[in-house]
Amino acid sequence: MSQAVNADHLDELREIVAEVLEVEPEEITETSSFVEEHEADSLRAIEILARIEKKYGIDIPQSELPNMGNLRAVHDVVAQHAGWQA
Amino acid sequence: MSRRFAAPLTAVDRVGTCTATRVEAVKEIVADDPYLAGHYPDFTIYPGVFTLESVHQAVRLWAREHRGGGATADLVRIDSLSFAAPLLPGDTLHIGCDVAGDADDPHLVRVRARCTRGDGTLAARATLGLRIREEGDSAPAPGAVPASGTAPAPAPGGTRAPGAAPVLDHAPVLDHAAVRRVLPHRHPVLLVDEVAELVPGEHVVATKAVAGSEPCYADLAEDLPGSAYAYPASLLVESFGQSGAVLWLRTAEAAGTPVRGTLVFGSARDVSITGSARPGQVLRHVVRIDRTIGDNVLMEGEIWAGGERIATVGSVLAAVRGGLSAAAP
Repeated sequence: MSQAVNADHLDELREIVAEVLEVEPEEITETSSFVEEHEADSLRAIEILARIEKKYGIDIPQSELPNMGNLRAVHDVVAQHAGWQA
Repeated sequence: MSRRFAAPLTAVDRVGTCTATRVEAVKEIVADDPYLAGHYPDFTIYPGVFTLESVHQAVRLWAREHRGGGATADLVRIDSLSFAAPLLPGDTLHIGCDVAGDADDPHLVRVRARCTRGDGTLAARATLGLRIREEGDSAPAPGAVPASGTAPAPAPGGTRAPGAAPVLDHAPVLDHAAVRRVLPHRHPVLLVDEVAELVPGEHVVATKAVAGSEPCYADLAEDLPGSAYAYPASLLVESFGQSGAVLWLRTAEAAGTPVRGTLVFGSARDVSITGSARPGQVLRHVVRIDRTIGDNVLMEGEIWAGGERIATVGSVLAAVRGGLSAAAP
């Protein structure tokens, strides 16, 4: 299920992903694939997960990693676990 | 050929392009390079930190080309260093570095490096800061000992946190024999001597004595300044990472869930190197576990030498992976 998107949250998440993947934030679009387009792998996914958990003080199960393949998907997973309302 | 700086190995074989803003270099991975016999005894893998060494040496060569023959380049900042694929004997490491000056500090250069294998696979990425010293420069090296021979005074606010670098006169909690039972690394790349303190799940204090007889001090030219004997940044980071690995492996063991597989250095981020260690000094690593996620652990901490904090480490990711084919360095 896709959630309504908060632009501030999206930008914060974009910043985290860009830092871990060592690319400019503007290269990360909502739907660009971390693995296919930004050379991510399982270690980078763990780092992204850990940073998000720390920033928002939430726990995201490792089983969600396969559902976090692009920025929009990350946003939706985090929104669900952080209880973000549109 | 004699070197003008301490290094674990010659980590660049050839230099290609070397313009004012870019340097490209190549390193062939061979099993009989120095240090590789201990990494690991049963199979050889180019340590992740040696990829950092390769990038560092490429930038040293760039500095000599573009900032004068006597220029040196000290690593002062690792914003990010991440590993994606292992390098094995027979692989070719291609190093590509974009080099840019810093608007505020003429001695600082920022480097974005991308390292790939012969087959084009991404091996590592890095974003680094290096301090360039040109010949005759008065700017001291990080941690340079003043001419009087006295230790540098602590910065205002104090880098000597009381209790953070205690004088340890009691017996270690893990002696060298015990360290060897925990870590798979072997001579000469086993870079933890003893563990002074260890609280599973929390922190470790581990030591490593730096000696002039180590392989990284072989083949040095004569009449070099003291700064040339700084313990290599690559080995400094490796020693810190191994200290963290001891903490993690012992933590997992204490919890009854021992970690099995190949130890992988995933990344280092937000590392500031403000000093250096010389032969005769003892490195003291203070490493804390930040969080554990499955077979991965994130740690942070600092590195001390001779009572002075010489580096802070924002984050190191270590992991274990079952098959080598899926493993990073």
